[in-house]
Amino acid sequence: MPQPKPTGTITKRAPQRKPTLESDVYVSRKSNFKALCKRCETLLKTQKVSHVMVHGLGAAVTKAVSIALAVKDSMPGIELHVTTSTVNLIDDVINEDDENADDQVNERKNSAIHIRITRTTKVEGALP
Amino acid sequence: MEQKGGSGAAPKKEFLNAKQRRVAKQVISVQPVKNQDAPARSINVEEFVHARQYEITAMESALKNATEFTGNMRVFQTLPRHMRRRAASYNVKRLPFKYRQRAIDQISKEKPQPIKKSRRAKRRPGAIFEMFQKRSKEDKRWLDTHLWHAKRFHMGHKWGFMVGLHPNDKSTRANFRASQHASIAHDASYNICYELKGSLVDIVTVMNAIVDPSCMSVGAKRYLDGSRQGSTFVHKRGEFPNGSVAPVTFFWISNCPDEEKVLWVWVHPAAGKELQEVLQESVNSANVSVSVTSLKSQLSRFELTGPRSHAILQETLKLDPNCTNSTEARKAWTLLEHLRTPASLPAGVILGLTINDPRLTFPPKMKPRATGLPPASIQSSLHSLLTKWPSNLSSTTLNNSESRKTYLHLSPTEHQLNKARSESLAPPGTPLPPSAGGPPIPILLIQRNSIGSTDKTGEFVNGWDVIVPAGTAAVCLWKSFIFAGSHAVGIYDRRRICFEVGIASFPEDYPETCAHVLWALEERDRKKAEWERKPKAKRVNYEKMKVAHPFLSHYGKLVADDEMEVDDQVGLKKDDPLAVQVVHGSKLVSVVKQGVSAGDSVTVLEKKCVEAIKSVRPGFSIPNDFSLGKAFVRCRLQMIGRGMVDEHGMIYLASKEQVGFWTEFMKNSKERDRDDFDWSKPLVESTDEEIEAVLDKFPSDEQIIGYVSNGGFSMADGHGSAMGCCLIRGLVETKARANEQGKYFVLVRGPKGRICRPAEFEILH
Repeated sequence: MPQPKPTGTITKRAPQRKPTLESDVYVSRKSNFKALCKRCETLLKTQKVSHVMVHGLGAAVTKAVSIALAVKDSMPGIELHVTTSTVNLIDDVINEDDENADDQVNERKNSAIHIRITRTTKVEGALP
Repeated sequence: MEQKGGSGAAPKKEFLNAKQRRVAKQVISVQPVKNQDAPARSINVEEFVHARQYEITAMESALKNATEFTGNMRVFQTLPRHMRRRAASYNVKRLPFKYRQRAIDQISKEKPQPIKKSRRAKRRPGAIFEMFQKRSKEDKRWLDTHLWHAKRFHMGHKWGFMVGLHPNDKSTRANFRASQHASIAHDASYNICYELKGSLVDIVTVMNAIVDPSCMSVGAKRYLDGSRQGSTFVHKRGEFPNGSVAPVTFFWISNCPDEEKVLWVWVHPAAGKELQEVLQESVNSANVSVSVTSLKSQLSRFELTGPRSHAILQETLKLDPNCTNSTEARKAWTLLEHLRTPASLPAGVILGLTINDPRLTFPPKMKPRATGLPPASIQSSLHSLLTKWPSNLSSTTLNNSESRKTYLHLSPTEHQLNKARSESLAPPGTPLPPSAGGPPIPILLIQRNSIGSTDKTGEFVNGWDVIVPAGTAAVCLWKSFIFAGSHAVGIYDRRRICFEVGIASFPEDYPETCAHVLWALEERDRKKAEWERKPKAKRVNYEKMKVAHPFLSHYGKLVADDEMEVDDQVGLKKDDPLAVQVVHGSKLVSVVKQGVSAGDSVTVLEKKCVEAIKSVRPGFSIPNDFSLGKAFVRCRLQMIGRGMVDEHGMIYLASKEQVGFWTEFMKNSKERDRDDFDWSKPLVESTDEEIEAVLDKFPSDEQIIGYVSNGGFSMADGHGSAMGCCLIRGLVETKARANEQGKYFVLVRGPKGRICRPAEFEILH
């Protein structure tokens, strides 16, 4: 049964997650698609890291998937490995009208996707 | 009696050399006897002195001229020029033999000269501190970390303090990167804290009379237990919506009974004096017994920003396990070790902790970053802590002014600690036990986000503020932060970070306040003088660029009533015509924001604002002439294509034709983003006709709806961006002129710009 919508201004808090590594690419709805594709490609080509992990949360899942597929199309020998997880999200609901109201905290869960992109084969004689 | 001359024959006056002239001056002239045959007579003293007046004055004048023997001159100065030697002043062997004894006698009469300190000794921190004690004036205070900053920063005199303006190296980009990926520390101890003591009801009355009614009251339930920091905007009593003073943050001190509550109000020093006056006036008019004291320079405040700051704090703050006051807070802080970023915390939470002497564990050694998530049990406890933040974590003894004094000079000195370290039998490198250090220090950790309802979950907005008692403790903690890897930034850098993030910085971006007006006029004079110093051929011709005010954002002129000449040469008066009305409470701003995007007119917005104020503060008496016709609102502008606007840039209302032109232009430039764009052809940014249509075509000054207060290229966004204030009626009109796709924008131009380019605006607090 859906909970009644709390009144007041809702502020989303940053979710908990693993510390960011150099090989992590986090996707949001406002991210620049082409810039992120290029970042994944550069990371794989220069081989600074063994794999690139693309993360997306909630509405950004589709974008993360598109980015991973775009990277797969742009280079040969790409393998994708997908996992999903659930993230606990916390929102603050601040009722600005009522002085004596308690602060409400809205908990919700959302799904996240983690796509590991690895580059397997290297064509002999060709530059990476 | 014969007249006695000087030694040797006295030649005629015109042939005397310098020595002979000097000797002649020193001769005591004698009065010749008037009557040689008269018998000797008795002396009547009065008569005698009167008669000898001539000789007495002669002797006195001779004494005055007998410089060498009265001590006015030294013996080596009486030598002829060809025998004088430089070193004679201290080395008697340089004088001829006859004069040496006299010189020795003269030297022995002098006071012994103090031995001058070597340059190295003068520059020791202890010596500099002594010099500071002697030289410090009320209006040029040093912060606790001054000595550290002075060696590495370019210092400036602002707001009665010497503050670090920027580090000595060119570090804009490095600071930006550090704020995004590492950690940044800023010494914000120049902020002034005012302590209000009195009963709860009285303090709330005093504050409610002087704050923006649409902001949550100081006495709201969420703040009363002292577990959160709140923010509001202070206006002069009875002058809302005008008479803005400054944005302030506040928090109550926990565990005080209702009759003796303590409220701490923090304000920027540019408006410090004004705030104190306003507070005092409100107390006097409400006729209550509330004491207002300034805690200036008694507390140090450090602002930490960036993802690594939380880890740095965890490492450098070693909690005192024996403190009974803060057991709950200690447990919470230990659990928070696994927190990734303070942006996950409830907004504005306060932790009252007690830490051991930071010198004992100096230098801090940071553990490598965690690679995985903590175990599930810890994750769930952390989650429950974040969702149900307890209210008893902020108790502190910092408000006790007597106990604060004990931290001014920590009791075992650095020298004593080092001695203890060398004498200890433990293996070298083992830190000293907590008992070897000074008393445990009470600190407050505040999560900075108390701006209200903003969607900003960024690191700067949500960083940690550390409040420490002033003195050695503060400096040691600062050094620990720096050694743990925080980059120190100055005032200019902080303003730059505010620009990147999109936050207004006081006083530059708050044109509604007197502090801004004073700052703006000073800046205007400085910039104008700099411009006038340059020859005409090497400086921008603002007249030709049709920029009426290149050095000042003249908001006042936009709302000036009639042909009244709002004079640029206006003096610094308190009720300056340049201070304007800006809507800034978070509730009113959201009302305006939603209203503008919905297409409401100004009158509808006014009604909504009045309703909003009534719903938050039903008892508030809104003035009858409350209107938004002359009101501004702070905006963040993002350039749509290319272009960059500088400070004092002009924001124009776009005419229908201009909206059409730029819509076409943007449509054409979007072609380049398509995958099938032919990159082999030469890239033409704009056609000649397009350039012709916009180059040097400036809209008239009546189209100006606002000015830019902080603009430039934003590294976070990758395009030009600006912070400024716009007229609400201008923004409403802009929305009315939206194109077919519903897109609406303003045109902006810097003072040196030749093209007015489109930019989208976002309304801010």
